Amino acid sequence: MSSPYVIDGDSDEALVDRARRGDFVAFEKLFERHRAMVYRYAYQMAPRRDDAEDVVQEVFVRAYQNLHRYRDEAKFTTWLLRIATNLGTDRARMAQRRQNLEQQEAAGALTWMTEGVTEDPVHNLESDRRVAALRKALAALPVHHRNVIVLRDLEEREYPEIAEILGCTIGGAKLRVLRARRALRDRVAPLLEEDAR
Amino acid sequence: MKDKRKDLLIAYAFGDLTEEEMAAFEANDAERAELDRLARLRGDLKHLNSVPECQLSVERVRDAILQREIRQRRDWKPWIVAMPAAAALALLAFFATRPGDAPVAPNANPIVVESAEQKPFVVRSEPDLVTSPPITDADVVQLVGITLSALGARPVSTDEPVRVASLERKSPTVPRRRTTPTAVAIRSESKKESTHDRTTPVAAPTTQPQPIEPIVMISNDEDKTTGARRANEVETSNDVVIGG
Repeated sequence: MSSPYVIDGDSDEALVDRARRGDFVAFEKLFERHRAMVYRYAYQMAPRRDDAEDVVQEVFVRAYQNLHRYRDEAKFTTWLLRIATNLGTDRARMAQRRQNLEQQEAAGALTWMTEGVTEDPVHNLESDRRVAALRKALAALPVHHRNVIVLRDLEEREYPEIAEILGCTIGGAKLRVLRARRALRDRVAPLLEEDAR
Repeated sequence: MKDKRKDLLIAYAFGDLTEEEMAAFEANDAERAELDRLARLRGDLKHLNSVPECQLSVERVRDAILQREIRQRRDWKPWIVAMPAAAALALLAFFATRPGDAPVAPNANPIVVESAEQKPFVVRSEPDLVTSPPITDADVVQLVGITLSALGARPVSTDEPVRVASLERKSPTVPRRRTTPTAVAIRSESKKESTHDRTTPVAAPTTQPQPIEPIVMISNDEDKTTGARRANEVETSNDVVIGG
């Protein structure tokens, strides 16, 4: 089966090989090819454009610096998403801690900023109230739940790949996804009940 | 509804069941309503996939990579490697130039004043003037080309005692400064006298040789009876090598 990312006759592995030998143009091609995928994932984890772009930049910088560690057994996209997952998890925790501290300092006065309004203008234009509420509910999930829901239900990754990205077994990946969906279902239950009426 | 059943409904709604499991799955009305809600949730999640366009450029990533590499190079601390290398070089230089390792000239035969920890000074005198063979005319001629008789001197016989005083350095008019504690004490006393009695006219320098003071050498070890540091007296400075 051929790779879905074969453009200009260059596979990811071939480009990685060239980039390892110092060909930065090959790495630029890899960046152009996978930038959107990493950005989509990063945006779901940190739904602010500038934060997501910072994550994407950091993912590719780290990828370039650690190209010698990449093994061809895994797909390059899987490897990229693994870097993004680790980075996104760290950042999400830091952001959560920072937000808690800020809210503590302001004695809850900033709650309206972080809960009711989204910063991204594109997001503000979304007319679908349910999707907006769902996005908010997803953002409020713990990072390990959010992670697997983005990978499985938004990015539609297969369980073996999710297991590889998370560094766990396939059964473990399935269990994590199930728990995350249950948590999301519980969180959006009022919204779903309202729609059912 | 039990948790296990709920999990099964979620797996069914999200398409995680195998075909056999799907075929065997049966739901009542309440479960069907729940399945509808879960299906809507799944559909809504797909809408979340629409994200704004990524505006991150290749140039920005390239700059970030370059900056990171520059920072890493700058953070490299060469002194961490340089310090052990310098220490190793210093050690090497120390052992290579140690004075104990320097070759000693075979004809060197110095006069040595030994000051062992528990032993008093031992003065080795050379040459032994009393037992050395007499100086003959031939020796002098060989050395300076002048006969002793021409100088009015006579050869010295081994039977006659040789006066050591004749080999001593003539004391100069102004006594030479010595750094021995005795000399320091004498000087300080004379200084005191001179400061106390300024009206006394200063005596004119005499041309007569003053009596030679003996040299007192004080060793580091102590006398067991008195507790004071042990001292040895030497008549002339010819028998002493300071710093040897």
